[in-house]
Amino acid sequence: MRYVLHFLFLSLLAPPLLAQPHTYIITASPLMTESLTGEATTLSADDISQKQNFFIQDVLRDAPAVHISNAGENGRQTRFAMRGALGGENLVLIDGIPVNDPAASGGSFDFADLMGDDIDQVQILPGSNAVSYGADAIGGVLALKTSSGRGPFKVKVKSEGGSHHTVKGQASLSGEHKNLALRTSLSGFKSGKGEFLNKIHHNRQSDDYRNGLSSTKLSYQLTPEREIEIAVRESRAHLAFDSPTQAGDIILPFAAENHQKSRHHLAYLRYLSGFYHDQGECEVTLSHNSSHRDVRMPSTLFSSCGQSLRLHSKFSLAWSEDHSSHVGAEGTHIKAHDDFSGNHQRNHQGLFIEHLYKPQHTTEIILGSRVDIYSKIAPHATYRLALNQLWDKTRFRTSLGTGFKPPLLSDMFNLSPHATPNPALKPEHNHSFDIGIDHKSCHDKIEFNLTFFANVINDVFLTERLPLFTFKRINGGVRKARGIEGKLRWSITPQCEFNMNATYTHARDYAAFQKRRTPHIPLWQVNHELSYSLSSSATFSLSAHKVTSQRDAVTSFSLPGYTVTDLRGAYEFACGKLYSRIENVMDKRYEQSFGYGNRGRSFYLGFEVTT
Amino acid sequence: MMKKMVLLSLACHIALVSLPFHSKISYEAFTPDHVDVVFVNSIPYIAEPEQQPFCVPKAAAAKGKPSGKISLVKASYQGLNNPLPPYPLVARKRGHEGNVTLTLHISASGQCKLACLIASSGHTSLDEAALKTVSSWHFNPARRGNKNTEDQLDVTFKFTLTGLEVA
Repeated sequence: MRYVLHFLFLSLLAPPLLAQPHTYIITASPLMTESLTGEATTLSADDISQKQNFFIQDVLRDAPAVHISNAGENGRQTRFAMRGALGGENLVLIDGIPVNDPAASGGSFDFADLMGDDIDQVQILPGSNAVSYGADAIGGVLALKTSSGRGPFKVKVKSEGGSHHTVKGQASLSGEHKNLALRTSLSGFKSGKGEFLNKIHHNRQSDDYRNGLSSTKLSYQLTPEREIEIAVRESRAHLAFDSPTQAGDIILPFAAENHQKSRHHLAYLRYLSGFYHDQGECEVTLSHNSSHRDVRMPSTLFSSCGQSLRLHSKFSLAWSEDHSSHVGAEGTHIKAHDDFSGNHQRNHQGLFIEHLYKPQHTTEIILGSRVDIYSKIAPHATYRLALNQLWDKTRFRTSLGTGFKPPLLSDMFNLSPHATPNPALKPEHNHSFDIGIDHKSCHDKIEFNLTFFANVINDVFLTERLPLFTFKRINGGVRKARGIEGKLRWSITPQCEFNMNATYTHARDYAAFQKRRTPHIPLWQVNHELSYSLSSSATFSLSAHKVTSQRDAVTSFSLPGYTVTDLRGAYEFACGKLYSRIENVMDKRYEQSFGYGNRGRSFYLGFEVTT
Repeated sequence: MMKKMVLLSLACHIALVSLPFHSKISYEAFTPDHVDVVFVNSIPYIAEPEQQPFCVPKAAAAKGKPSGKISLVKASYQGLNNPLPPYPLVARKRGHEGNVTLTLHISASGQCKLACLIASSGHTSLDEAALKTVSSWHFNPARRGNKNTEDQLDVTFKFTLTGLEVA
């Protein structure tokens, strides 16, 4: 009877509800061309801003699935790893354009100089994504997007300063007017002047770092279905760094007058078009990126330059509600130069197809294949098979795929008197598998993801030491990595949120009948963050970053684990924001590379004004 | 006691539901200002025409001729498989969202004679997509008795971007 009464009372409300005018809801995902990825962690502009970090490498430090480490100071070379793949075995994209440096050691992108001021989104895509993104995605892909003009035009000015003589400033103009969207920004950063003592090994370090960034993106809407976009991004950095010096039985860095100048340049022209009654998209991009590095030491002068000119096109078409396909083709001209190994260049053509089939509304099957042809090495094919099943608030996903990394030209045709060329060098190639679950519960207050992965990389590049201080690059190793990645988000109250992620990676190198821990990959990496909003304008967060011990690549020594705690606060007012943070609250001294310590606790204060 | 409450609820319900039919609104009294009061056929969600709860009064239908006070059956667009507007590609890329509300003037033949933008989304491309789409829609024309007549009605399109689709 109670239910009958409820029904009757509720039905009394029916006539006024029926009287509402009809509303149609039209939903869409941002772009079809971005849709076929597996496990993904997305850090939005708000997430990046809330962390208040100067550099993207510091933002990535707290993210799941990726482990990042640098040699103590700002501007120092940065290493990163995903699913057992190191540095250049992972692909880094800025606005969809690969920026791995073909002239760098291992072909890796160096995050040291990448400031976060113009970065709008960071996506971490671990696993087999080689079909969509191409070579070098053995461990995964880090896809960064730069900011675009949004809403009415506004000017933003930011200024920060703090410990270790750190000063930073930024000014940007962004907005939309009719068909035009523009964002342009200028940033400058300076830090590190003065010597400090590395308390672990008692060597005195004195890095001094400066960085400048200019970034402009302009897009023009030709029609509601067509857009053209032009972007130019250029950063210049200068690092005065220390010399590794023999100190007893070990080598440690000591203050010295060494200089490194780096310049990174990215420019692209992109045409985006919709067709076939909104069911198809086409994207054509012509891009150029380059990385220059000049190193000046008392005894040495060294420079390197890597460049690539790339034409990339991608078509996406939804045939029906059940079937959609993505087809792409690309051509790249790559040039690499360094003073030791000489000038090298090669061409690359790639072709891929991916198909998404939904036999039921809640089931997705993705099948993709790709062929890459690099000059001077044999063509290489990769594939990916993925299955996703959705049950209400739970998603089960699994994928199986392959990837590869072509050898660097400097490894194949090295002209240095200290190296023996190896034109028979084969690409590294891998098989990866992952299986995971995503779940939301308690009215979406709790959300967790758990993924188990396995990644086997074959023909790993090794350096063979030959007599008379010469070396040769060979294939010979196998690296096996397996582990678990987990994420948890818990909205305890509307004001309070707890985030945690943990990555367990068991990675081993098997080479010449030896088994060793893969360097710079800790067994565990755990991040916690508790954020609390005191009011709509004041927020605080406390985060802890824990890393267990890892093996140093150069010395093979084991670097002890560490835990770093940060405290952040921000207060927003009508036209801006005041923010502050204490990094390394507990003043923990640790090393991520042997002999290169950190400066300890630091305090920063900044403000932002928007008009 | 319980039975009384049920009967009371039922009586209130019937009275409220049937109130528009027994009100004094008539053919002569109809003006656009009254449309918002009458809501003869503004169904909040897609419903088949036969499921629509409002129709010509039974008494009038039984006699087969106007009884002097003829109720208006408003124009409708439900059950005609009219296509929804596309989400323009550039709007998706730029993250444009918003609600577009249109007032449509429907001819006696069921075509949209005029579409007026009542509330803009703030983005021209979304407004244009909505206007362009409704211009090709077909409607069930409004009826007074057995005669088709002109009418106007409101429709709102809510353009919403989902998060990045992770397949």
